[in-house]
Amino acid sequence: MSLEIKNLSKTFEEQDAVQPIPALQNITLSVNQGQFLSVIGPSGCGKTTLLRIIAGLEKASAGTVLINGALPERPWEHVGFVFQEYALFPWRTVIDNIAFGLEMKHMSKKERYTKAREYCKQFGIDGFEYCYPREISGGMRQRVAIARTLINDPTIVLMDEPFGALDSQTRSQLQTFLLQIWQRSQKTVLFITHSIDEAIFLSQHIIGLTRRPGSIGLSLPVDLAYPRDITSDEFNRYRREIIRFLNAQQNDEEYSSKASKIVTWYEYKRALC
Amino acid sequence: MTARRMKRSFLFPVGLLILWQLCSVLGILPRSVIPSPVHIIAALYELLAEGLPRGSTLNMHCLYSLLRVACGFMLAASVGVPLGILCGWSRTVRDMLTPIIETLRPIPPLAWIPLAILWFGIGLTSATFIIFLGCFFPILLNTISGVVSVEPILINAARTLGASDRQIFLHVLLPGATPAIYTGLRIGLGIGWMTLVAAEFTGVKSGYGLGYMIMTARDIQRPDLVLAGMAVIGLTGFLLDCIVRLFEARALRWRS
Amino acid sequence: MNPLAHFIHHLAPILLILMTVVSCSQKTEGSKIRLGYLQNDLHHLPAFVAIEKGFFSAEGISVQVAGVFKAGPELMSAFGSGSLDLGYVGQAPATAAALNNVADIRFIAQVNLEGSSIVIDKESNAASIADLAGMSVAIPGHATMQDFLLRRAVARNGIGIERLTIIVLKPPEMLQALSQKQIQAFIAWEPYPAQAELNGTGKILMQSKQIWPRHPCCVLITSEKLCREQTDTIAKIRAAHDRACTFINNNPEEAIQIGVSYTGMPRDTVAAALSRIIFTAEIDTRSAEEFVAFLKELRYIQSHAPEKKLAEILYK
Repeated sequence: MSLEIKNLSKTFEEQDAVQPIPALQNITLSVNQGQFLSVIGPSGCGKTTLLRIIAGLEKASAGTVLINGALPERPWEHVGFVFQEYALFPWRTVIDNIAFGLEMKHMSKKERYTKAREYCKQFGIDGFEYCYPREISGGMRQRVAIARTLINDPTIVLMDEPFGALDSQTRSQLQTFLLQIWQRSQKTVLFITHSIDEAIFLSQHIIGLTRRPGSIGLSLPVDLAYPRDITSDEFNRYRREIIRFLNAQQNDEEYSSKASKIVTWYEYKRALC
Repeated sequence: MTARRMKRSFLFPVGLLILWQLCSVLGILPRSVIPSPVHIIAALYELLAEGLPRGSTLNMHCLYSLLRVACGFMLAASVGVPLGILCGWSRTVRDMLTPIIETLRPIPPLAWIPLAILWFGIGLTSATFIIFLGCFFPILLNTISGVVSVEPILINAARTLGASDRQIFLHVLLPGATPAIYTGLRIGLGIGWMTLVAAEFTGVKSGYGLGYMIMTARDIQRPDLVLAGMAVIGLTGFLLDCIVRLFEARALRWRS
Repeated sequence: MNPLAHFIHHLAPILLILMTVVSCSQKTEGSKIRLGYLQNDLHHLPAFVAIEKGFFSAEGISVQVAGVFKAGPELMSAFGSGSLDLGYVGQAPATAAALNNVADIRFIAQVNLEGSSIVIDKESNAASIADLAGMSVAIPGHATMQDFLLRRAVARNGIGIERLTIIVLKPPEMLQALSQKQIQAFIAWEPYPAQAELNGTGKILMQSKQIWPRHPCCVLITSEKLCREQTDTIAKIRAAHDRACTFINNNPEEAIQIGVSYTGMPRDTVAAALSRIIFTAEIDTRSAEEFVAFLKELRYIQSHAPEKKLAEILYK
């Protein structure tokens, strides 16, 4: 088992909130080595919080996260994190961004550049090695971010809406590209998305989180062969099922958009430092 | 800068100088009290050739003033930048130091002069101290705000890429705060330069310094030499800023 | 906006301000005579005495203190801008300002002779001027009478001025610097030597009268305009000033009291200081010329014929 989450709960007790805000409730989840799992759910249901807890960037209020069957002391050393905003270091060139992790491990410049160049080639960003992030397109930046994560050889790759900011054409290109990479590397992937099609197109398993506090309301294995045809009937069947689940979350009267905002990623940004 | 803007930045001041000269020649401006640009240039030559006091030439005054600024500025930068990063990084340190910083900051460096002379005597040490005070706060405050404004997501990214705290400090906070640090360095250098000249008014041991030179020009009642000295101070300050900007442009190539 | 309009648009306010400044500064005085003198300078005692004893009003002129200055050059700048009519000031800044055309003035009377001293550290073993070699010596400014006196003393003792480290300090700071051993000696006007002597930080190595007997020090100056337009007023001012000098010489005790009340210094300091100053209204043309020669030699004045200019500013 690559990742095991047992009875995980998270409640935010921030100084500026009037009362504690429950974000995640009793999540139990197992992910196999090499599995591609997507998480969907309404905004503010705590998807990002889940990833951050797995990465050790946030502490759980209750429950445990096991990676490779153990409770890691520094979870961030076992995971790779790909952010929606790319999170590239703007002062580093493409190659220095990709080689960042290797540099932190004190690998020699020659060695890490050789390796980073391989990744550039593999990720279709060769020729841009010495550009700064602002000089390349959004799709290119996300390729760099993914390469930068994978070069570190993490056990699990956590992806937080990585393609959310891209136009639809670039997005579908990158989805196909990601599948190739995943099939080749056999990494465990935990993928957050807002897009139903993206989830079905990519994953072997889809988890749906309920409205806040998020708990698992849907667990859907996707038994379709790759590459998947998004116009097929089977694809539509999955689509219908997920839409039904998501609608049920949104129609709920108690759903408070204001409170949910507090647990969205943009709010954490402030609370972080 | 585009050629058009360069032209504008050059032509307007030159036009003003020509107008000034014209007013002087036509007798609109009293020449003995407001010397004309041509007189000021002649005075500059006098400062270079004969010096003031006689024998102490302009280049030596410049050199000594620059030396004092260099000492104060280096000290301020080598204390201000690390302390600023520390304050930006740790909320505890920031909370502890903010009241002290904000109390000391509004005190004009010149108000410290009597104490500086008492503590460090007349000479390079007290000049360095006064200039340090002028440079320090802009450098410190800009560094703090630079570190605070580094996106937390970059720190998280670095952490998940295996960076230790020390590495995050060196490879994320420092480069991330660099634009703000440069702003601080430039403001600090400007204020340091201003402070220096005033500090030299109160006494120098070496007998050199632009402020000292201006004071001597005042003592012998030569407004043209005073203005020439002021022009040198202004232009040197401008030049120093250009040099720092050059370094800044090199270091911040990654920005547009 | 076209470039020319742009230009004028920017310049207009600047020109307006400049013209206002210039026209204001040239405004002539009212009926009152605006007087300026230096703070805490016992050389200017006749000014204090004339005001205190009502000598000016006795002559039927109304004098108003328009400025108390920390240094001579500042007072001369005030003359240059036309904000003073009458001033007690060092002969050095007055000569420099007149010969460099910064202020159009006339010397109408002498104020005092002598009254400066070279002071050394109390514990110093220096016994003569030659012993100053290698020491840091403070002067109140370049081209001052004290600068001249020190140069003369040093030259006469056969050592070059470059053997001394000359530091420019304001006289009040000289005392502090001496007590902290930042400097080993200074030359200044009274009451600072007396103060150093009495508070135990220094001792007098040489009085200025030993360097140049009856050397000129401070003068009474007026604007050229006043001299030209109101000859009778000048005569009255001179009479009042003359009376003040005589009064000081004849009533030393009362003069000390007035000195104490104007400077706020202890009686002993004032008394010691006054014992080393000669008050006289008589200008000695020859010594004035000697000082001009000194300024000329150091190329501190621009005038090509300074002697001629000096003759012009010495009011007969």
